[in-house]
Amino acid sequence: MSIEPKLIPILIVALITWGGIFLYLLRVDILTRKVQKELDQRLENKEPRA
Amino acid sequence: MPQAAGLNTSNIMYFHVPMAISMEVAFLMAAWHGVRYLQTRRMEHDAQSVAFAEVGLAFGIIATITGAIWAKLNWGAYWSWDPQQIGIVAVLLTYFALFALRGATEDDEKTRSAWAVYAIFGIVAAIFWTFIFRRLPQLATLHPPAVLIDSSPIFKVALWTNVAGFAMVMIKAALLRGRVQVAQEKLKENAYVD
Repeated sequence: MSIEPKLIPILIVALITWGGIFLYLLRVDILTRKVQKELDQRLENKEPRA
Repeated sequence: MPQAAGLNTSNIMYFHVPMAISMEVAFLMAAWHGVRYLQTRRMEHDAQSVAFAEVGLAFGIIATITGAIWAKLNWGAYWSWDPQQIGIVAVLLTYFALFALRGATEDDEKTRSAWAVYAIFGIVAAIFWTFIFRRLPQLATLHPPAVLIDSSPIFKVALWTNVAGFAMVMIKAALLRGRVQVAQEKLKENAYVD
């Protein structure tokens, strides 16, 4: 299957749009992992309840 | 809708317009949460305000890039300092500056109150630069004036559906980002407790 040249601009735009949204969600995921890591560390350091 | 010869450039509108509208909605939500923070002093509103502004900025960058591609195909250049292009750059720079200001202060309570004011200022600036500036009588824009209202019914249905869909993605992304921000703030507040 070959891509018609006239479709290339819309393909680029679609990739930029969805790629951009994906990258943003990836940023949120990275921040979430940081929070999770911090939480795990605190739980490890905490004394178990008697 | 102007059409470049042999290219389906109007299809770009299905991506560019929803991104731009979602950006405006995100900045509006950021301001609304800013107002709610000033009323209630609840940290959750501050977090949500920051989250909506951040997502709005991301969507604004995508709208600018996709708009530049559309401009290249229809106007012959990616960037020609059209009033609409000047307007979007001013909006993006405004929000970059607001985030820099937020990052520059240490005190959390003061930072949050100041941010609420920034968010309200931000939406006023965004409305001016994206809706009013290009309509000033001294300026002539090539930007299509009312794609969402004046287009053919079939185009409008598809366009509005995309606007709704991308706006929902934007809202969900901002809600997720807000929750992470709340978790970060709570961890910071309890850093030396146990």
